[in-house]
Amino acid sequence: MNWLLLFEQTLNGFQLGTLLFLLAAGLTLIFGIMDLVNLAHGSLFMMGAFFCASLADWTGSFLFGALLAVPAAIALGIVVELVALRTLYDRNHLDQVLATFGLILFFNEAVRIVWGSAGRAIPLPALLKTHVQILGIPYPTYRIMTISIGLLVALGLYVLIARTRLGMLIRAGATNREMVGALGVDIRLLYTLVFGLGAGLAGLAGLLTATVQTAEIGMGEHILIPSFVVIVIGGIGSIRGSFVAAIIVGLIDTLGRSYIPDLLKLFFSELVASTAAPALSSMMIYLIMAIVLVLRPQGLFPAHAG
Amino acid sequence: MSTIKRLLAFAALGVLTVMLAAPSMAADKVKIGFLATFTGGVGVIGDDMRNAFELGLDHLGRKMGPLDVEVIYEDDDFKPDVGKQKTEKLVKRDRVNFVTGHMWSHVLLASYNSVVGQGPFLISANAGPSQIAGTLCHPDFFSTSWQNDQTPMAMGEVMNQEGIDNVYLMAPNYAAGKNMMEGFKRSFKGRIVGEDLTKFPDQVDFSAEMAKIRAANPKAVFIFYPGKFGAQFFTQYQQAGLKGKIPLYSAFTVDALNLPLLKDLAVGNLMTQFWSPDLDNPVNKRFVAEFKKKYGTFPSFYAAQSYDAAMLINSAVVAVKGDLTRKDAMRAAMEKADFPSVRGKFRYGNNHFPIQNFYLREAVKNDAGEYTTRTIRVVLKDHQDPYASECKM
Amino acid sequence: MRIGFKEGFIVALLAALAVLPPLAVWSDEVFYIDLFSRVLIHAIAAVSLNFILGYGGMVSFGHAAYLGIGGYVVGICTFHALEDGIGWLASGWLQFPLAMLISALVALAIGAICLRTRGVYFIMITLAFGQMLYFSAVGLEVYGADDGLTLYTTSDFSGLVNLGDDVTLYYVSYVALLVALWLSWRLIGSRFGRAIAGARSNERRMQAIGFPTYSYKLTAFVIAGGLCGFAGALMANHDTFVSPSMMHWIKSGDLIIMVVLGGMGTLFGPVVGAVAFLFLEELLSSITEHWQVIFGPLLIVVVIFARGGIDGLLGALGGARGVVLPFFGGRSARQDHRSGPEGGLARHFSADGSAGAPTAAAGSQGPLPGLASAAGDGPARPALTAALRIDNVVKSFGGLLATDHLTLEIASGEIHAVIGPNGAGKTTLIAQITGELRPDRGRIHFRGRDITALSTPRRSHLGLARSFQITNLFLEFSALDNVALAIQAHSGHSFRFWREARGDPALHLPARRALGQVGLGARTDVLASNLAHGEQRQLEIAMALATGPGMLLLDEPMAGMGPEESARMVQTLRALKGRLTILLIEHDMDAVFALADRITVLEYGSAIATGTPEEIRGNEEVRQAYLGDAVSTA
Repeated sequence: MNWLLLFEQTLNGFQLGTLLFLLAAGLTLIFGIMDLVNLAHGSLFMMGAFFCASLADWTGSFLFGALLAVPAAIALGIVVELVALRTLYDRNHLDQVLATFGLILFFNEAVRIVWGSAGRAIPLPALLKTHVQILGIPYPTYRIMTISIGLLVALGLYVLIARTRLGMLIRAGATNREMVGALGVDIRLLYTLVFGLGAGLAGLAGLLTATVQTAEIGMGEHILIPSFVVIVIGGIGSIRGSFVAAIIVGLIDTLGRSYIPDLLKLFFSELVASTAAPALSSMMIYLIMAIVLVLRPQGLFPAHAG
Repeated sequence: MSTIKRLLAFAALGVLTVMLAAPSMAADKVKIGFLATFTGGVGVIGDDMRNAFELGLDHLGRKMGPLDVEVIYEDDDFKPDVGKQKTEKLVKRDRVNFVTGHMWSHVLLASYNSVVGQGPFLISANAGPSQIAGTLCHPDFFSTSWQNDQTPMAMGEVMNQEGIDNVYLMAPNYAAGKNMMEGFKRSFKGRIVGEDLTKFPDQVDFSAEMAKIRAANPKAVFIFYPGKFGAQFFTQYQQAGLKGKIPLYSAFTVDALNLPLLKDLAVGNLMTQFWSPDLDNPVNKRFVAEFKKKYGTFPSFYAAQSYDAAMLINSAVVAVKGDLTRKDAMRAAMEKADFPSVRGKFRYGNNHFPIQNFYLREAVKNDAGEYTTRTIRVVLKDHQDPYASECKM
Repeated sequence: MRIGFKEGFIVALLAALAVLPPLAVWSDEVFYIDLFSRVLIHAIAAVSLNFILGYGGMVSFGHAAYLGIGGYVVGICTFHALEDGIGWLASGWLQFPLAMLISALVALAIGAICLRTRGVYFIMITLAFGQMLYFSAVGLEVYGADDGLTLYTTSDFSGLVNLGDDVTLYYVSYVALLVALWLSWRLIGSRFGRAIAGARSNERRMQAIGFPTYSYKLTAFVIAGGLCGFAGALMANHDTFVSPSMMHWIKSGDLIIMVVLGGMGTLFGPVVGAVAFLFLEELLSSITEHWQVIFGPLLIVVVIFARGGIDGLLGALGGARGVVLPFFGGRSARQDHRSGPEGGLARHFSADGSAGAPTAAAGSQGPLPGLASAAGDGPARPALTAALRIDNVVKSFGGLLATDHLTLEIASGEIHAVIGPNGAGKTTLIAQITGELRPDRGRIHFRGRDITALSTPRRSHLGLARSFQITNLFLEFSALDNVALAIQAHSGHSFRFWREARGDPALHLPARRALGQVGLGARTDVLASNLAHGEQRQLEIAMALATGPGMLLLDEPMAGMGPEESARMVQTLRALKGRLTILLIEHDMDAVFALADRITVLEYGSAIATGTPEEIRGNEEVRQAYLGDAVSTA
């Protein structure tokens, strides 16, 4: 057993987990508070990436690009909320799935018209292109940065939700929607704010992803389904749940990819192992979700409990 | 009840109108169906192929022999079932004389039977799965590209020549990805220390695989990541601190489409290919120069293949002076490969795949500051794919 | 069914589809045969999805998996028939039943797990299973993995039917679609179909009136899977190609779009939806390469503005009343009563002869339907024995004791009221008696039998019926349908797939009688959602009675009622006195003291006093702790 490799893979899993958390946090809040299934969350993720690419070009600096892209994503989220999604809150989940699926199609083609289908690279500053030595492993600075940002956001969200009035309303909204209305709060404003917050986080995740994988059409869909898996495992509406679940999903996916082939080789022939391994590691996270739902139909940390 | 009658009549009329509105048949045109992916993240390849095909038509004066040319572009949406359906439409509704394009092996395999034996010729301008080169070969099929195994076979040969005796392989888990690995293993004589087939097309984060590469510490890494995947791989390879430590060899991974994105990241990368923008022949020089003039970028190898597809079709139409009913004569003309190809002179094998040279080339930044590729040497000369012997033709 | 604009349209559409091949051949446009075969096959898949999604309310986001399984069964059989020379595998007589069987079996396994979850969790877990099957198909190296598998022959039907011929395949698909439609029409109309529809409308209530909804939903899930497997087998023959992309989640999404676009929960909606979706795709993509920029917002517009899908639009266009498969004629009555049910309430009540004298009406119409069977059980239970015995029951929610070592006996035939301040644990008690909650400790006996571990539907079948504190009806069903469902629950199992339940007198007549006895005789065809509040409460009682209970649990039947309505309810209940055991939870003290034989006062989960109304009235402790205050506010 190569312990250093295991350690490095664990770090990689952790990094994927923090990225998933950025997406899942917004998704779970929108879901928990507005009861809105937002498939277009992945589109906001993609838009964050493209905004950053263009703004970084324009300002000539990745940092400024990123700093401007997040507010841009928030603004876009608010516009989407006001124009398209507001009418969907009191609809059933099916209607929401369909309408936001329509949004995905729209955004994908719109990006293609505006930015072309080739996608855009986001040049990282030289500082982030390096790697640092951790226990003798050269580990990319960028990935360290992603992990740090993810943890910072998690901490920030914790403070926001546990310590502020807005957070109190968000918590109240996730457990009992009517109560918030009864408190005399403008519920529509709260919804718009939460949606903007979710959009900003999605945009942030998008631009972080794009620096390593280029901004491209359809990038949102690839990560959308794992994000849904995360919030369902974590329990819808629970930030804490989605953080734990994101790390679990990130670790399982990464470790699965690295160790399942070897694991299978212990039990089966080389041929069987090499055939089954890619399929099995691809379906690991779904398997985990199915198991969690069978054992705990409301996810690990159900927000509506009690 | 009269409402129903009216409705019935209306519906029947509607169906009829739609049908009759379909393009009418005309014998004074050669009709070409072009199937590729124009949408989504990989649409950029389809666009490049279309651009080159259009340039080819420009060079032909938009006429083939005495006939005008009509091209119908269809988007396969990167899905085999959609590709098959669009192919059916091209063959049955538009009644094209040629179907070309075909970026993807799986789309080509799905729609293969809808074309061959049904009338039109099928000219693959990219995909070259082993089945079609071997047992499924058909007189109506021609390739202007290569068989999937050939390019990685050339790479295996390169490594043999350079004395690299252990290597790590990576490719996406789909037909072409597996063909690439098989092709490489066919000619490579050293040891494979590790190989990963990554989830396709969803996986774009290769951190786990990079860590495994570092742990395995091979003498070289060989990858196949076409289109956008290439860009992602290179970025991450560098960030993982592997660039410059373990040499990276590739096939179909660095192309004119992603080089402008990759820039210095890819410079120095070695790859094998049947063609390069700097191949020294007049047809290629004109093609590259005018492509750059018209579209502002270097053509990719996808573009080169599409340009050749236009020329190959033209050679068939010219040979029969526009009499498209003479299929045998057209086939005989195409088998001669007697057209100005960007790869220089080549010939067709019994399975209608080219027997051609494969070159080692390198990604470079040229004197004008542009990123492109440079030919280093010929690796395989007049190479025929290994499946030709399985083809009874 | 009235022939309106929409029916005309559907007939025209089916007729146009019937004559399409000869027209296409005549006009030399055979491509359309191919395109519309594809449409027809998708329509079959959409019909199968509609069965669980539209009628059963189960939003399966992995339905394309069965399409893929059906396809792969045909693909794999054909593959081995050719490669290994096993001729009999090529037979369509084998392939098609096998495709349906395996799809159904997989649906059974998936459904058994997924149906334990609800709502969006159900959507996500079906999606997860769909993706797992997708990746399994990608891993089928021998069968082409994600390249898919090309079929070099179509299924062989002893040379009788050649699916390789476009026109033959078209008509086979067409007939198959008609058969699928007919099947689903029969199923929806059967008792089984009504049980499914009831579960979609109000699953909690279904269980309360005695339906084990899980088994019914699972059966529907399996039927839909099998039918979709058939569509998959046809699709494999049409495409002569199968690949994992047949089962990708986007494909499942497409199927959902077809169903919703056409109008879910309507018979022909999925067909219209499939035609519209595939035609629109074809049309828009021929206009512009960027067709998704149009299609995306179009989808949103449909969702926001055309809630009933195309079916709803057609209904509106025809200006006619909805023709969505009325069960007992309830839906068609929707428009008649849509305007201002509240305003029409008083007028209606005064016009209803029975409203003024419900007791007399009940008496003159003979025994209640439920009582007949209850009386039949009579000899088995001697009078004055306890009908219900609650023995030292404890239930806590995270440290808070909602039921605190409660012991209570309800004698046969008495009206036993349970009163207590809010939060005293009354509703928790009811939930434990009906089986929605399990006690942490203690036992519950009903008619001498330990029911502590039984499910809600089982308890209902033993004769425990309940009404709900918050009105809990099948809102989109007519009043008659509501009661008929309750009767159906207690007349044997509902795995009856064939016989028409619409207008079945065995359900109909007793339902009408029960409605008459609670004074709703003239409101049978009104949708439950359009009934006034008081009427809905009466309907609750009618449903509880219709299940032929030995005991009735009434959870605040007068909640939210005006004085007039309350008086009416008291009349109805008084008529039952002595014939049924009733556990009454109620805040309206006037009603409690007027009706109850005995009263138990609950505080903090335990009984502080039990006795006759006089004893309770005289109990100083109760008076001080609770009653004085409550009476003054009541």
